[in-house]
Amino acid sequence: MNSCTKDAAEETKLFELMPKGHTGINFSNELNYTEQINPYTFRNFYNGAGVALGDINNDGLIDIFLAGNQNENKLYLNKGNFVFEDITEKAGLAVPGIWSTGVSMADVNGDGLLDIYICKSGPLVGGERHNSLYINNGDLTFTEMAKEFGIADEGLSQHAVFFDFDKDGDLDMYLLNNSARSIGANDLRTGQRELRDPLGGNKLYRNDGGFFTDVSEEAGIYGSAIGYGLGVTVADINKDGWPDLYVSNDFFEKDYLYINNQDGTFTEALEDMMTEISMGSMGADIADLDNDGWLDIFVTEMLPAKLERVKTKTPFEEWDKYQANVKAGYFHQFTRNTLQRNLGFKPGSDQVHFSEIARYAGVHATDWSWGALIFDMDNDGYKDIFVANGIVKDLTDFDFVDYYVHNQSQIAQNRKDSTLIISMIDAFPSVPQRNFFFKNHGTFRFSDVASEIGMDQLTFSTGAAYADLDNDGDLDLVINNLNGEVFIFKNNSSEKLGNHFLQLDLGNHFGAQVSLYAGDKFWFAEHNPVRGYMSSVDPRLHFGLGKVDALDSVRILWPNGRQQVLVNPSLDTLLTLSPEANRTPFDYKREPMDILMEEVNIKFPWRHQESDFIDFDRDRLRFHMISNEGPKPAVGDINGDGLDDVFMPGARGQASALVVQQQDASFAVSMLFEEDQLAEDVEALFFDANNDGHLDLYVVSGGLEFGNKNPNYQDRLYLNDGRGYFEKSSSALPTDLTSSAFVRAIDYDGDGFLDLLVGERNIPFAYGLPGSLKILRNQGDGTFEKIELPEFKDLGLLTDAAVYDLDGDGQDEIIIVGEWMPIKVFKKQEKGFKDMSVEMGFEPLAGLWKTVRIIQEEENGISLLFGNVGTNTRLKACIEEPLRMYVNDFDRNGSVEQILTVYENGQSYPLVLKQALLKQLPGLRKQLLDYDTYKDKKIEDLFSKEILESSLVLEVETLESAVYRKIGNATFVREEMPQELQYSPIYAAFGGRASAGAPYLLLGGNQSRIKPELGINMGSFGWYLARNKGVAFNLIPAAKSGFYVPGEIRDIQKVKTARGYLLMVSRNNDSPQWYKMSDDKGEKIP
Amino acid sequence: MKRVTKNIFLGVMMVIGMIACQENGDYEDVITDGSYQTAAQIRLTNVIIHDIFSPPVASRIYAYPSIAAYEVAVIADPQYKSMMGQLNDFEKKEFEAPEDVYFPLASLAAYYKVATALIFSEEKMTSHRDMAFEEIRKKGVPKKVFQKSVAFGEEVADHVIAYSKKDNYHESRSFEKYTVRNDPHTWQPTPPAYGEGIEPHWNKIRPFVLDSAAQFKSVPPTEFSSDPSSLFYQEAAEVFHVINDLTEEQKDIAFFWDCNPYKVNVKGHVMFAEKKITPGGHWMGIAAIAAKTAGRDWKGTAEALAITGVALFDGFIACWDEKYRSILIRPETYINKYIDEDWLPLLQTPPFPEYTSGHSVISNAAAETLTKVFGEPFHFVDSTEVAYGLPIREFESFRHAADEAAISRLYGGIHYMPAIVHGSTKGQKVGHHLLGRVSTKTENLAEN
Repeated sequence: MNSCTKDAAEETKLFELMPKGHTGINFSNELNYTEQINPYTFRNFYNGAGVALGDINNDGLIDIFLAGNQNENKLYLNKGNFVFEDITEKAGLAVPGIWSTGVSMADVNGDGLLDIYICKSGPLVGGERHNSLYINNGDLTFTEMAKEFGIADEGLSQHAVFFDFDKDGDLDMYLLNNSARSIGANDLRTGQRELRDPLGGNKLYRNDGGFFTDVSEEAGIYGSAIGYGLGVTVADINKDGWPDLYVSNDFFEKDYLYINNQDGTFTEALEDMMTEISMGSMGADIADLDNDGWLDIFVTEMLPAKLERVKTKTPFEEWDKYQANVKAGYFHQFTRNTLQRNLGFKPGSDQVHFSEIARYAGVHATDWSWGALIFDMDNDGYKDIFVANGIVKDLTDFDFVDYYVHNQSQIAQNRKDSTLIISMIDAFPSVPQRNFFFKNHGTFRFSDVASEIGMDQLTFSTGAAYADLDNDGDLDLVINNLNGEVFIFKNNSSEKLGNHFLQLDLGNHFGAQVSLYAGDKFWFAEHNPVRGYMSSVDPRLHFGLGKVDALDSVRILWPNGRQQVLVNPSLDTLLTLSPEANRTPFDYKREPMDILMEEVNIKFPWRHQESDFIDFDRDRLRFHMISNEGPKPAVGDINGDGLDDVFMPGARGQASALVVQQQDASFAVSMLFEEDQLAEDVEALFFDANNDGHLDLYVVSGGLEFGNKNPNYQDRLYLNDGRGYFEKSSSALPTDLTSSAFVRAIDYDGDGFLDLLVGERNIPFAYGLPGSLKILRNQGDGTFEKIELPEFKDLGLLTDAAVYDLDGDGQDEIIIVGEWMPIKVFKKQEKGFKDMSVEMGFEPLAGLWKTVRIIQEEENGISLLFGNVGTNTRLKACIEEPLRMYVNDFDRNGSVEQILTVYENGQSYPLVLKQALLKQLPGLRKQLLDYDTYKDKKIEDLFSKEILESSLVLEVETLESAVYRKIGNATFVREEMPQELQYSPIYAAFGGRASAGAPYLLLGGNQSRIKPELGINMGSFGWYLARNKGVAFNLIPAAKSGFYVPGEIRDIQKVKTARGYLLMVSRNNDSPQWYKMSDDKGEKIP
Repeated sequence: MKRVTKNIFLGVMMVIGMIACQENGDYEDVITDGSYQTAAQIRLTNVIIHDIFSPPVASRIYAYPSIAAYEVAVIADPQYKSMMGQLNDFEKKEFEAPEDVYFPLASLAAYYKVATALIFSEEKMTSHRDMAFEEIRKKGVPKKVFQKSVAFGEEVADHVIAYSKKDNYHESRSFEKYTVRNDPHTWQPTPPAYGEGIEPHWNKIRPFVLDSAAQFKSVPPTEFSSDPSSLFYQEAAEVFHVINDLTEEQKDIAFFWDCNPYKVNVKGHVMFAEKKITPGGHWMGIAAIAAKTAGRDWKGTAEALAITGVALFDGFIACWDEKYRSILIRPETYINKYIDEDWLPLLQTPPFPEYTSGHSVISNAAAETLTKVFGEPFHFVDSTEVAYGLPIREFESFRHAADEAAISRLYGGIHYMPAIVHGSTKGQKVGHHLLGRVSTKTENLAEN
């Protein structure tokens, strides 16, 4: 699990590029820029053009329509065996000189013949500048009738999708128009989304019997001038039988996810369902990637795969700007592709929710990407992802931005000669890219096999579409390239792999949903062939089935609400179906589900408020903040009324609070600790410090918001007067002005008084230097002395600990975790403690560990959960290729810096971009004059041997959260866990036993304060894992578990209330959420 | 005394020298005026632009080399008074000039050495130096003299570099980034690049003559209010209206004094930066033009550049101290929020708080200083911006130019009037204080 081995890719040359001599297709989307028309004057200059595939003459062979920008469109008739005939002229489709973009094939007038709708863009000149609707005359000719149908828009159109949004049986149209407004100073203005752009804007057209009516406004469709839409995709996201829409918007505007209200209107509700999206969203596709029946969404962006292109061309939002974006209503957008895994319904809701896992899946970085297509390229039963990419000119090249135009007099001269722009564009670098083809290994693991399967060409690819062009049972691929010939790829999977397949011709019934069943195997797809970037795909639904040679059944849900079931259909063939005859009605309504946990409303008048401290303002080179790790409350009955009370640690600037339970299970704040409100309190513990029978209170102050050795780091002890009043015991604790993370009680010397273990979180202004575990020995009178043991010194950046008798010898062990260190288990010896970690089976893997918890298994077994940051990050770490952090005062000016290095192709490079590095270490600028110089520099190239040798070098070998299960007396073995554990950092865990005694595990975490460059991790909503009969833990979907907690969970604790035992889920910068378990045994959980 | 005589002699020999300079030993008049140092300064300006130094940092890069060049002139000519012992912490050091040193070359070598230490693109500076040195050598400076002169100049340079290293600049590179605040009156990053506030700790840089960065603390800016009847709103509205009704002359003035070292142009995914001279660079250019216009020799030029560099440096410190004290919102942010969402200033708003106007402070500090050096009125033709595609402008005095530089920030839409008025006052105070603290002429010679 922690080796660097990648998923094997054994697909050899599945795709064969067909020569134009054979196909007869001679098409290249050539672009020539002039002073008037170029990427400066026309923002979408390099956006490319689409491909539409469909059978225009109903001869069973899919024909090809190719759109051109400066060259004319072409229609090629499929003559079989990959031979095509150019019939553009004959068909009446030749319109030279007009900039075409997206192209859609659909039977718009419902006469059984595919029509063609062509979007137009570019300069407002030429005869047929408006979008065209070519109605198929049935004799291989077409008649342009856009005006007659009311859809002759004349803007910067990008693509149009046809779908039946009102389910009246005809095809309506969503027109994606890119805004004519330039991007400039308007990207932080609020309220722009609601203003309709009189010159353009996205439009929804309702088909009213042969005429299209613009119903955008009444349907709730945004049509503003900030809609820089590049992709629109139709899918029934929430499984209600009504088509929804995903619109991917370039630049600062967020994407839109329109949910169909089933009454002719839509509600844009992306923010309710997603936590993070792509910034400059380009193309998108929607399909079921894990065969669970829920449609997942893949959106392309522009993050390069190679670090050197990231370092020379990729702008990321700075932290401040990102915060301003969110504040101005532009949501959480990041520079990378996103893969939104559909996790199904929220508990008790018709709304679904998504976890963004592109980084986990490894599909987040495909350079300047346009087209995205999800289809099963090798018929193995899992749909794969194709990404078309490449930008003709590297428009964001940093060296160009900074240095090309440093001669202002030259600019003035060029302006005078009217050659300014073309001479600038001439100077831009132009680097063609290889497209990406991600093979799906199931469970959201992908590997890029483009080169292996025969797609290693370097191109500028834009629109693309798939179809079984030779009817051999596999999907061929057509790619429209800029400044290069179109690619016709023949897929040889059927011949080479012999997998089974099934194709369905569902005619004009867009929105039909098809499910395939074979034992425990399942497939799902929707019939929406206008998809992909500016394109239309094979209108016949295609399923790869792998080695499955028989299906139990096929179920078709027709858009008219009828369902059709085919039992034991024949495979490896095309089934032509229609909804008309004898179909039974189907009801999408769901029965309410029994849930395992029920959310409970508890009156709790205290909400955690995180301070706005920004770690990065001090430590510019760090990527993750650690100043938001609270609150981890103390829970206990402090007044002897039999009900648990809570101490909530407040963040910097917020007073911590004692929140006392009332007889009606509500809570009231009884004490506010305002005197020490400046301190960043992160955790607290109720324990009896002086053996007077009352719970006293230890408060842990941590963070790094203050200078080193600041009094605000002093932990505090409060003594309980027995009635729940706490008095600070100023002399009880030794002075220790270090930042702490946790406190655990343990009577380590067996004298009957509880001693304390306190972990040092970090050294402020010197993040990376290790901290120590300290013992506070109870001197028997409620005062403590600090014991510093050599084995506990400088362990790491400690975050959490557990005290538990792991080997059952009656003596507690100490388990300690932290960042940049391995899991540590210490066993008490005659004198001191012995490190037993490896002996007990814990792999010596350094992680960024956040938490450790004990899970009660059946028959008195136990497991240990270790929360890490997960693998849904751009960072990678394994034993052979660890993440490293170099800590030093690199420029000898009195400040400590942290430089993170990551591996790429066997070499380790600094992750930080040059701009950020030089802001902290400007002295390096002398050797890093331009970005090109920096792109392949290793840390050894930047600093002298002397500096590096004096640096503290920390390593991380695993980012994965892990569960170790106890086998035998004192041996622990790591267990395979569900993929979801790695989607987000885990800060909190709770292990319990369900009613039947089966263990369950609740996990929570997330982290919102990570630089946009790496991106936040907000994609877990609390995971509910169940283990039945000793087998592996299984994820229970939120709709079934009932456990759904958005935000940043920091702790989960059991609280005894007047309404029985409840779980309190504490969140950073938010109020706690409460749950009642369906079982209610209330057994003690360590 | 001997040196003074030599200088008089030099002046007489100038014309002859130009003919006979190839002769060995006859090299005394290879460098007479300040043209070599001025050329070096123009190259330094180009490198500052290329390397993208912010205005405060640029002022530092101009100051130290100019001081080094001047200190050689001081050794060459006792009528000039060393800045050592006059500038804060600038320790006195005795230099033993070699017998056959060629001072103007040593001065130039000192300039190049310090300048090269302070910028990034060293090769751009050293190649320029090598060309100048090659030319000087070809004009007949004997090899031995040449080497000794350069070595001597660099010895002086080392002293100045050591001095520069203790001004807290190095340490301040790692000081905390400015944390954006939410209070409505506070400065917010501005479009299109939304750059972070630059140099929030510049008031911790050691000034040359100020007792402290806050010595000439400005009156606080007008109390913030979004109420249309408030004074603050009126001041913002003034900017709004002035920009909407700019005359061509006002636009010319605004662009002429734009001095934005890094203007970002954004067009969709396409970006490019336009780069110009900094405000300090502009005034160093004026100082060089003035020296030439007044016919000053290389020493007089070095004097003018050094004292101007000192004035600009302290001007920026005083100005930045106030900027991050009041942290005032820029007109662009205010007007977009409270008056007109679509309003754009004529110039791109630079990335730091509004109050007071940097150009107003430093222009006035420099103008006071230059007026002392060259007198008033002083007609000059300002051609510093020609290389950046802008025309020349003519001025009757340095104060005339400073006034125009100050008001240009209103025309550019990047400052309210109080920042200009109080900025100018602050600049004048810095200038007067400097003139009271530093003298470039030894008293006895001045009396002669």
